[in-house]
Amino acid sequence: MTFTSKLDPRTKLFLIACLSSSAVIMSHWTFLAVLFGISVLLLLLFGVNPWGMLKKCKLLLYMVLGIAILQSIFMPAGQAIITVGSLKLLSLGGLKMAGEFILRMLIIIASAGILSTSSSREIIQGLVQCKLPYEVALMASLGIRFLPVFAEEFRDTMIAIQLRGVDFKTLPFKQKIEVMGSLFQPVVAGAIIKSKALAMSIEMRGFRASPHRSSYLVLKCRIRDYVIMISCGILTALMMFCYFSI
Amino acid sequence: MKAVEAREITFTYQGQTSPVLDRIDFSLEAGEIAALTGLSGCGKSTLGYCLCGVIPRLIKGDFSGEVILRGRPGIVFQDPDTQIFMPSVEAELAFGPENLGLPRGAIAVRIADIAELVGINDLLMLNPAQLSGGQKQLVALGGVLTLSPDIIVMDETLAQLDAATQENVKRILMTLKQHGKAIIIIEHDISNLDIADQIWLLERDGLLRMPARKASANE
Amino acid sequence: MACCVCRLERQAQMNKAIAIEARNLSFAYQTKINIIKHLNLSLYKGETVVLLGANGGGKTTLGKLLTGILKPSSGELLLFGENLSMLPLFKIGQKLGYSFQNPVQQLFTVSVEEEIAFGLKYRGANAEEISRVTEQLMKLFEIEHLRDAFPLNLSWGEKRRVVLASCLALQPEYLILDEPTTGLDQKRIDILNRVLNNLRQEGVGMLLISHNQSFVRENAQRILRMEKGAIVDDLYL
Repeated sequence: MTFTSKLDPRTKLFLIACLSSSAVIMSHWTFLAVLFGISVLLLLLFGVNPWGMLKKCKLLLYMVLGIAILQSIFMPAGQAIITVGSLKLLSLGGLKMAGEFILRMLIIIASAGILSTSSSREIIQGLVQCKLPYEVALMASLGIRFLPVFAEEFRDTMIAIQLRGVDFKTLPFKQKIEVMGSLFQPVVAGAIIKSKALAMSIEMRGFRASPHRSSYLVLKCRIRDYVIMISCGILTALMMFCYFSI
Repeated sequence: MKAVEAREITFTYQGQTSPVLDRIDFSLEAGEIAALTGLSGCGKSTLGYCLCGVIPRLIKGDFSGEVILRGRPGIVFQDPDTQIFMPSVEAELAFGPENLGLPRGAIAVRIADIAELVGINDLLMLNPAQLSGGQKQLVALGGVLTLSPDIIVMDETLAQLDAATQENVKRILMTLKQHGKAIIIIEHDISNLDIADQIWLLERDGLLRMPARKASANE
Repeated sequence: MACCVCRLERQAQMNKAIAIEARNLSFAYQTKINIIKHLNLSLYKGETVVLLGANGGGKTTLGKLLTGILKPSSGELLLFGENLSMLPLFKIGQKLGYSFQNPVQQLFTVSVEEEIAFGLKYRGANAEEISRVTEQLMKLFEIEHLRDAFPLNLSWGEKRRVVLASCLALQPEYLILDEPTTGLDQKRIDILNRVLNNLRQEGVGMLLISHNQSFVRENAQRILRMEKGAIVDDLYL
């Protein structure tokens, strides 16, 4: 764990770039299953608990599952498993496709998990030292932060509602819809107001004040970083070769 | 030398009809502390924004008048949750000097000095999200001070600090004042106005200047 | 000595009316800082307690535990005799009024008027009562002119007053206010003092977290001092 968490963020970026691009390019379930196995292994190596991660992105997983089900119904291919009249409700091909989709999403989620072992400051610096302009890297990281801010905003709101003694779950359907509808504007506006305040504070701390920006944090790749990057590159190339020669 | 000079500033927020500030004049010498006080909702924060350039640069609205700032401005905002954005306190303190393009060694010195001064040495490696409201406010102050601003606006920073920390921050402000900084504190608590050279009471009909408490005590 | 006797008397008097009780309460964030350590505490009905302590000492965390927003890692919490960890948040909300340190987190409607009316409206109060209570509170906290304003656009002090009004609209049996005076000018603090005094007369208990010395002097009947997650001082005035 100590070994992997001390890796340069650029190494991690390279790793997940290999993983996720392979997952997107390869569309065969055996390859995807192998990739998925590798990503779970990597998560464990980096000291991330895969179960904990799954729990955290429950909502996303439900969405993935929902899409997968729809996909398998609307894109019938191959042998039918369940039919209603002349309509193929579930087919082997559709099922395979759904399975591949789920695996692919899980690999991408795992990639995010690997990246989360570095702090956002380190990742920004990694990108900057890869010659990405600082402004772009910072904006990207703040942009990614917007989602958690939004989620936090929503969670705070739900807590605040309950603390007013209102049980959202048992409200009549009509009132539930009414409350949800009325929440939309404040929650969105709240997230936007927060982001604006953040932008203001960034500007007032001398952002873009000088044409040359220095960095207190400087990343240095060590030998093990190079070893891991090179072996990861070779492995990816090998897998690609196998995949395309089948 | 006047560090801050504002003449006839009038500001109306976008989407509102009546101005929050109406032809306000204000000035502050370098090496002085001014306290802004007045009823809540009367425009103290808005005036603070005008006196460090947030308005009209970053907030939209109808602005007229003139503000002259001689030196680099810095502001500690009221909400501790929306002015800290780095994953560690150290990175937070480094952000300003990095933007100014200071060399690494100089940044390290500034971080160490300011952390010591503000009393957040022990927090440097922590994620600000884990800190208490008051600690966040100290980190925000530190993040502004590492910029080494000449004009400092503090929007009710003291209110969220415990008594001992309040006294410490007041001492820091007195030191900064001696180094020729112009400081504007927005403050309700009368017991904290003792460090001010000037007290400005903001009312609906304009800014009134009152004699400093120290002066009145002497008289 | 006299103080000690007085304290015993007081406790004897109030023994029957415990509002919140913490037994061997501990709490740790994942990061292991800001820990509450084996804390024992009884808060009584009709009593005003002020919680003091250095920044980062765990005051807000304790407030959030007592309100059920955070779950203790060990120990027990009783709210009017019921196990607080078993109560759903809305049930706690029906008894406790809680004002967050940062008022932004508590505002979620499109206008000040709706904000104050929200709890009453969805707990089945009739329109007449809602409008009576809302009007009364807006007048009390001097926010009538803001009735149609979008709460999140208000100044800090105005937001604070809206949150306080929204809490009080529900007539809680116990109040926990986390730094209620930040953003308030002396005139509005005086109003708050009056309001709290009236509630005290009605027998509402409260826990106030505050650094404002004159506010503390005005309200405190009992002072708790917290240091590094433990209560180091418990003093009846």
